Amino acid sequence: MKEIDHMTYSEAIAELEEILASLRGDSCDVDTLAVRTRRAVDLLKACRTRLTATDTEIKEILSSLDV
Amino acid sequence: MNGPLISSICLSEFNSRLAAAVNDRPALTAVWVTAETADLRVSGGHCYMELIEKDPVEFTTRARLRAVIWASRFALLNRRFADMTGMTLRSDIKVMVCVTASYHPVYGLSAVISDIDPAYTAGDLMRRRQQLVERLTSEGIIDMNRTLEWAAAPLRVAVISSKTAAGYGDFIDQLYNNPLRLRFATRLFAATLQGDSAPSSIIGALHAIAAEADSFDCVVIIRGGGATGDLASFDDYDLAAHVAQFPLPVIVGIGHERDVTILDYVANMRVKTPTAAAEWLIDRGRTALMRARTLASDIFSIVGAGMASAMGRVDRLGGMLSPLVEARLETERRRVDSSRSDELRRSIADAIARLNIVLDSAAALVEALSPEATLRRGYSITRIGGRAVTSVEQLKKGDTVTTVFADGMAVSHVNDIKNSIENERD
Repeated sequence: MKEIDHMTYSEAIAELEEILASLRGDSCDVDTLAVRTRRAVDLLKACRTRLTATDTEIKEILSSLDV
Repeated sequence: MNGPLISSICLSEFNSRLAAAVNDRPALTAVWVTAETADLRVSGGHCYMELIEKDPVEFTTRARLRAVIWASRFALLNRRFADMTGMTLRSDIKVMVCVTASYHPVYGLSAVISDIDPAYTAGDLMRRRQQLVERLTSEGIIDMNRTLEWAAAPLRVAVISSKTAAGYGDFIDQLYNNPLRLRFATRLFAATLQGDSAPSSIIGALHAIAAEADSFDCVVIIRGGGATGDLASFDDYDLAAHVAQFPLPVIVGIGHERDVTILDYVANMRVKTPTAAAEWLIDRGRTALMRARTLASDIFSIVGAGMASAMGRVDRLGGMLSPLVEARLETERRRVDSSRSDELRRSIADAIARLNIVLDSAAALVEALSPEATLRRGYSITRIGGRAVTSVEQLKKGDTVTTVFADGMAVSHVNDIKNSIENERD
């Protein structure tokens, strides 16, 4: 499994799609379910963090841009 | 020689005749003329230029005439022209102008332009642009940027703009103040977006971005809003070819409503204003956010269903198990009982131990009852014919009997037989 920090957003989303497809495809046992869910949760968290910023972060960005 | 015999007039007189021949002549008044512009310059609010006609094959000059648009008309005409063509009046464009010949004794002959038909120039620009399109098409590059795949969330944006442009500020404001708080990261690659140096300046910025293309998801080329159309310089083959072949999707937001340049044909995305460029990116981000949310909810519903079915399975197994469990419980119960009967077992063991003692005593008894022991105690065994004699009835007078003692035997003859035990002293 690729470390999430080293993945692009597109790669993370692609892996989530894969997980979804595999979840749809398998009659998965609880262990697999747990592993995949944990991975999916990690990926989703990373995606969310990359996609959106906090108000403070945005203020910092804007002030650094100085426009 | 004497004074001139030939009659003459002074130059001013001649020029006056010229003026009379030219000025206010219907054939030279308010005539629509097509020409190309050259050496165009604006001075004191007036616009001066040369009108030229070139041989379409030889490109040599066939005709040339000085022309002027007086300041009183120029502002209006130039604005109308820009609105329609996307560029201000300039050199090296084809124009259709309404001219009136004007001859001035000092300043000479010029054409005073009272009107311009921008449609003519627009048509010509369109033809030229069409030629560019055809060239880019035949070279197979026109669709290259337009067919590039977008990143799932294009948040890292390389901006080509002039930093002081109002449009750049609008773009940044719009982008970073998006209600979704999408985490955009922009970097400005400053360039000139006005005038003839714009193409080479933009190409320079594109090269700088290409050097670190991995750091960006897309390129946005924007120009300040409010500026009058000045787009002719964008209809440049080199610039169009660079944008078309750029490895990242390019968004172009340089014009106004009706302005079209060759970049609009080659760029991945065309928007009208810098603000619209920001809106478009925010919309992509929104789509990405929605997609992530859909993925999340899909995954969780499947995981939820999977867990539910696993739980169901567990329950079913539990149902199947319950008899087993019951049995197991029974065993447990028995184990519990047996643990209680450990005492019993212990008591049984005790009992056995006691029995063993009994048995031991019995053995001792048996042993005690063995003939040897009996013999040792003074008893003896009498046998006749190998069999023990237990009754006098088995004997008769004269029989030979063997008497076994603990330590030996004796052979005797029977002398007398009595059917009662009497004292031997008798």
